[in-house]
Amino acid sequence: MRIICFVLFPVSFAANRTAEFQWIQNQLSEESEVGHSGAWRIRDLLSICWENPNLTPWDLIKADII
Amino acid sequence: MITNCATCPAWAVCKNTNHLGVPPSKYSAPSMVIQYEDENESRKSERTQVTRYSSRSPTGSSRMSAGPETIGQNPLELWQNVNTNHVPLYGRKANNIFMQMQDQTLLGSFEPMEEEPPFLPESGRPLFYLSLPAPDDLPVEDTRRWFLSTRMDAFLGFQDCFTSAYNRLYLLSAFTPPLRHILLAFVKYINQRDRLSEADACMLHIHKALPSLQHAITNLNFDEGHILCIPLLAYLAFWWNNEQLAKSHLRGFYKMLLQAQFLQQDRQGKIAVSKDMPSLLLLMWRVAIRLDHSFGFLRPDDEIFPPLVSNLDASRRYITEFIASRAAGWTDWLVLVDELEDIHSLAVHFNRRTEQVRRSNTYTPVEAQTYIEQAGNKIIRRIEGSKISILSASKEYHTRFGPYLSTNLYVDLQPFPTAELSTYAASLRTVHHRFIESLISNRVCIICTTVTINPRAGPNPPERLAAAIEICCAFYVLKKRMPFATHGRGRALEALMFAGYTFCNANNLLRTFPCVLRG
Repeated sequence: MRIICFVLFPVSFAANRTAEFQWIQNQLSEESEVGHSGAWRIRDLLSICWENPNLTPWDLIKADII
Repeated sequence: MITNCATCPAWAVCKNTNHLGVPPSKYSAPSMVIQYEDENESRKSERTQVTRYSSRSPTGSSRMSAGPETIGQNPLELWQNVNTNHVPLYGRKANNIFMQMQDQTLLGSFEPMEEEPPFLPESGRPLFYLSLPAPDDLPVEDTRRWFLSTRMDAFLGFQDCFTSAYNRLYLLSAFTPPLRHILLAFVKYINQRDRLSEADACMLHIHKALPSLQHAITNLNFDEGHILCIPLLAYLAFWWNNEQLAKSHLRGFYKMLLQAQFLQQDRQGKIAVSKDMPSLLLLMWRVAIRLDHSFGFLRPDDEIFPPLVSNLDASRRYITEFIASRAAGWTDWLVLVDELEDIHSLAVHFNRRTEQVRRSNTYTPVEAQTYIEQAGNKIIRRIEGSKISILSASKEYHTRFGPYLSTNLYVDLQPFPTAELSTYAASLRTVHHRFIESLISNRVCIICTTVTINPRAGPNPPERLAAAIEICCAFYVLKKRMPFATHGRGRALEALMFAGYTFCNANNLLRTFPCVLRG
């Protein structure tokens, strides 16, 4: 089954998304450096979402995790 | 410190309490609490009087809080001494201290701004330098009034389009002392230099306004001027870090508009503006909606207003009426922004409704998901329609006005990590940054809706992935064109968050696919 998934869902696809995710994290870092302190919170929030894909950002905010 | 934080929906999230806040004053900060509910409300509603542009004196002056008898060396004026013809009543300049003072620069005034010409309406008469009567017993300060039109527009996020609206707001306040007080308090607060030096006067104006405002509301005898005070109070409360009070004012504003029948609510709870709603109230209604959306930043449950029914004709009416001639080209864009806000409201309430449906025992999980997907797909179609409108309006704007848009930035595509991002960037070559901002808001709505349907991180469904890629490109172009944003970037940050959520750990899909297939 895992092999079928690899055919349907190429590894490069996941690699691209990972690169884009990192690009966004970098943008958020830059924004926080120019004064948007909220960008750090969003960056942290995304890091948690990365590890917990079953949670939405709203869940994390509501639970005061961020 | 970014000076434009106050317009940023992420301002509360940043939790930068050193910015804005309550200015220190020798007078205590007014509570600004207004009771909008009354236990006898239903009884009183039978004898409700809602008047427009009432010019009579407000009742309940006996309930006004005790203010100072003098302001420095200035004698006091009374509201009853209205001089509608603007005839000088103070005699000769040689023996009148007020006329002499008019030649002096007021302490704390913003020197560079004073060099700008006064606002000239079509009649050629500088309205902002006319001496309207003092609200009651506080001195008139002509030199500060023009801040209302020049700064308020930028502060409320309409980007120099509605100067004349705030001019009219000021003139309307001649008939409603509480509105004059609130406007003057607002003006003293929004200018950063005045915020500290004029804090006492700001507090006094609010102290003066609230009792008569409360009296009018309690007796359900308010007019348009009273209603217009409320969103301004909501903004002040928001900037004073009192979010609950700001929400209370927004609720009050909404109730007053319903009471005055300027808003209508259908059986499903959706609200629509009536065709009789004055243009100025329409504008402030949209201002209030923007503030409400600020509360919903990352917290959709915190938004106050019920779902909104789009009325683009009403939007076009107030925009056409108020828009400055030099900004007339932005009419279509402003209408689209209003529509986007209504769509945002729709997405927020879809999110809330979805939670209720998922928790309900009435539906099985499969049924609930089916209903959610059906409703969500309708919303997605509407959002896609809005995107087409934005692109179409952008194209028309570009054709008509041909704005100069830097193209050098498209040469350097290195910052983009993948080919998909590079492909989208070229499509934004001829899109003005205002339309790009609208596109970002539009794409956020798509992702929010798909997350509501499928509350899981990752690039599924395809609409979500496409929207995330477009957000990245739009953000990059926006940042290149405007490294120093003229207003808050909160919406862009929120968009980046949703895009990041879409790109989150796509490897997880490899782990979840077998489970899905087994299920």
